[in-house]
Amino acid sequence: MKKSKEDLNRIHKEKCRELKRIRGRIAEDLGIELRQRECTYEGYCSGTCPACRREEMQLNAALLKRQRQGANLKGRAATAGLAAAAALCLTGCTPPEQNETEGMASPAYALPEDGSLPADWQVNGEYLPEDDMGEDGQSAGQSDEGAWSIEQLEGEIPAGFPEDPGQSEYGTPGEDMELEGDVAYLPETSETAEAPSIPDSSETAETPSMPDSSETAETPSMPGTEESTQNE
Amino acid sequence: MEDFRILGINRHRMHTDGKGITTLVALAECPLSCRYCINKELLQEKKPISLSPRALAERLSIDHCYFVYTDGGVTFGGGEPLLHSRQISAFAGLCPEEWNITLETSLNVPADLLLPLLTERFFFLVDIKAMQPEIYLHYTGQDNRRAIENLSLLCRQLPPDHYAVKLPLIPGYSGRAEAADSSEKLQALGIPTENISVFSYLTP
Repeated sequence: MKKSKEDLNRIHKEKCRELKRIRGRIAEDLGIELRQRECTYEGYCSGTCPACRREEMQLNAALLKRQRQGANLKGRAATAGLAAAAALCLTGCTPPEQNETEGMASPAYALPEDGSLPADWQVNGEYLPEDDMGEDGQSAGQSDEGAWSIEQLEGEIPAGFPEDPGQSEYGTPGEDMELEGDVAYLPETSETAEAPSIPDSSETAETPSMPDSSETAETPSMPGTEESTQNE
Repeated sequence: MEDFRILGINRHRMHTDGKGITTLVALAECPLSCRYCINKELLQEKKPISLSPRALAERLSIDHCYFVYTDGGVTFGGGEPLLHSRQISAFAGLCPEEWNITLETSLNVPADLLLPLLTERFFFLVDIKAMQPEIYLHYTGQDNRRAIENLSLLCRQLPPDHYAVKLPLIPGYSGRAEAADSSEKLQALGIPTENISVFSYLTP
C-alpha cells in the first residue's frame, strides 16, 4: 500500500522524536549536556535536519573520546535505559558480544575529534540542503531530473521522484522503506500462494546437482534474522 | 580502486535490516531481473553517484553514535552488493569495528567476488528466491546454479550466526509446497532450519 505524503510526514516526525529520545539517553549515559530543543518546524519532515545533525556530531565527539579512553560502548542501549533501542538490539539476533578488552580499535580513517562532518561537507559552511551546491554549481534542491546530487542521498527526497504520491508505483517522495530489494516482506501468515505456471519444459534449466549432505552442520544457536513488517 | 556506484543512502532504518539502527546503502547493478523488484526503477533509471570507500565511511560516520549504542551498522543492498566486492572489503577495513556490516545478496555472482568477503566481519542476508531452477529462471531471468554453489560455500565457511537465508513465497511463482521443498534443499546444504526465514512477497 502506497503511503501518502501526510503519512510519510507523520512517520518521519515520529522517527525523529524517537531518535531525539535515543540521543538524549545516549548523552545522559555519556554524561554530556546536549541542550535539546523542541522542534517547531511545521513543514514536510524527512526525518533528519541540521539541528539533529548537530546533536549527532556532539554525541560522536563525546563517544569517540570515551572509546579512546578504553570504554567499550557497543550495544550499550540495553543498559542505557534505551528500551526501544534495546529492542532493536535484541530482535531476532544473538546478544552483542561482551568484549572484555580495553576499548575498540580506532576507526582507520579517524573520525574527526570534534565529531564534525567530513571536510568536504564543510566547504559551504553548515550543511543545509537548500544552501549547498552540487558539483555543477546547482543547488542540491535543483538537481537535474534523474540526476542525484550527493546531498540528496540521505533519505531525503531523491531528484526525479514524482511530487504526487499517487504517481509512483514504487513509493512516494521521501519514502524510505523501499530500497532493499524485492517488495516488502511480511511474516509467513498469508494464504497459500497459487502454484506458478511453469514455462514449457524445453526452456527449463537443468536441476543443479546438490552438494554432498554428509557434512551437515550441527544445529547452532539462533542466528539473527529480522522479519520486516512493512506494508504496501 | 573503483568507487562505489550508489543509488541511494537511507539512514535511521529500524526493524528492517537486522539489529539496531542501520543505514542502507543501495548499490547499482544487479545480475537478476526479478519480476517484483521494488528497486527496479532505481536500477534502471537512476544515475548512480560515485563514492570511494573512504568517502562513504566518512559520510556514514554521522551515525556512529547510533551504530555503537544500538549495535547497528551498515547494510549494503541494491542491486547486488557483491558486484562491489572489492569496495566493500576496503570499506570494512576503514570503518570502525563496532559497525556491523550486513550484505543483502542473491549470491548470484562469480565466486571470486564472494570469497574475499567470507569472513566473520560480515553478516549475509541471502535472498535465495527459490531452489527450484525453473521457478528461479522464470522469476529472475537467470539460472540459480551459481547462487546455490555460493550458498553452499558460504554455509561451509561461516558459522550460522553470520548468515540467514530468506525464502519468499512469491505470488504467481512459488507457494507453500515449493517453499517447503526449497527449505528441505537448503537444509540438505547444511543450513540449519533456524537460519531459514519464509516470507510472503506483496506485489506492487
